[in-house]
Amino acid sequence: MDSPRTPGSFLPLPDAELEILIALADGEAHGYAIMRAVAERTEGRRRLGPGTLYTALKRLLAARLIEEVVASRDAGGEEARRRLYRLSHFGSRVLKAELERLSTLVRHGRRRLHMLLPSGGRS
Amino acid sequence: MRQASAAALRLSAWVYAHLLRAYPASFRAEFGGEMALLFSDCCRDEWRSAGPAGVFCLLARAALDTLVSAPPLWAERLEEAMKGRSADRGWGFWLADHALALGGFALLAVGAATSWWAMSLGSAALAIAFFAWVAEADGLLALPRLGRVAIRTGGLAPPLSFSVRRGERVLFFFCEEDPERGVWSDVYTVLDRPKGTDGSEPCSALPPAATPSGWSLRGRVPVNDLQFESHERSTYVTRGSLERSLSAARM
Repeated sequence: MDSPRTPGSFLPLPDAELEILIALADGEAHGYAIMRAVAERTEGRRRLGPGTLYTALKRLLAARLIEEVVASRDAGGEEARRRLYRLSHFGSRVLKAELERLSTLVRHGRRRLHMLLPSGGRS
Repeated sequence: MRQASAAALRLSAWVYAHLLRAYPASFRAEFGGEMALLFSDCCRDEWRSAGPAGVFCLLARAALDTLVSAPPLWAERLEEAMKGRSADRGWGFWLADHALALGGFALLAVGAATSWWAMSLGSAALAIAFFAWVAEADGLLALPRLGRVAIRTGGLAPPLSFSVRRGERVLFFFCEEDPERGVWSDVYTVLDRPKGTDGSEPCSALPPAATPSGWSLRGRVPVNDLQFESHERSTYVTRGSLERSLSAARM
């Protein structure tokens, strides 16, 4: 019997997959748009290469965290060759759980750091 | 300038198309086209913002990206093969591949103590055994599964048309379209011709009366009488259902 799929069973998400899910939280997008969104959000510090991007998309599709959008019939040329992806309902639950996990981690980390450096790190 | 840009973009696309060969065939078939398209878009951006140096850096980054992202995919393919998903594809291949690998190890062991040529031969045998195993796992060798007949289809199950070799004959199954209702028939029309005789494969939208030269009408088979299975990128029709439906084929 398959184990039940809970959002927690997918955590922690690898970096590339988290970036893709965040990019898709804005709405459906194709590979190039996802790559641009990640680069813009990180101010160019994080650039997903085609290999990293599509291996991550393959894993997300297999886990059904994202789904492919059926292309509209009026798209032609290169646009017709691009596949659109969107966050699935389950994917949005996984993203929410991961962001909550990260914010808890940041909160705890700040508290510890504050105890260690009460002046906020200034000597 | 415009010509130089077009040539550079074409060259980089050509290099990237070769880099894509580092990925397993099944992954390339699913995402290769999109990856090439995305790389071309990135090349155009880089050319506009940084010129030839930008495109060169992009190529270097893409090569590194391939080095990092392709091995895990191959590891997945190997893992699937090790789990025995391909075990029912034929003991002959399995035995030959393992014998080759064992022979390779033996030659390596002998070569380590005696001569370089035995080591070279052993290394070559191991490399061939490894790549044959990977290719078989990836569906590149398209070895038939026992009890099933591999067919060529457009990915639909049941397919609209397919051909099989059966003994000394080639059989072509196709559904006819009802142009008024815009639906496909739920019966396959079966044509056959002796293997080796001349005659190109007929098209699926063949009108019933237009049997091409070299082919003869064998009968009609309900689509539901045939059982189809898909595995990796191949579709199979079970041998039992094929034989039963052909023996009951009616004119």
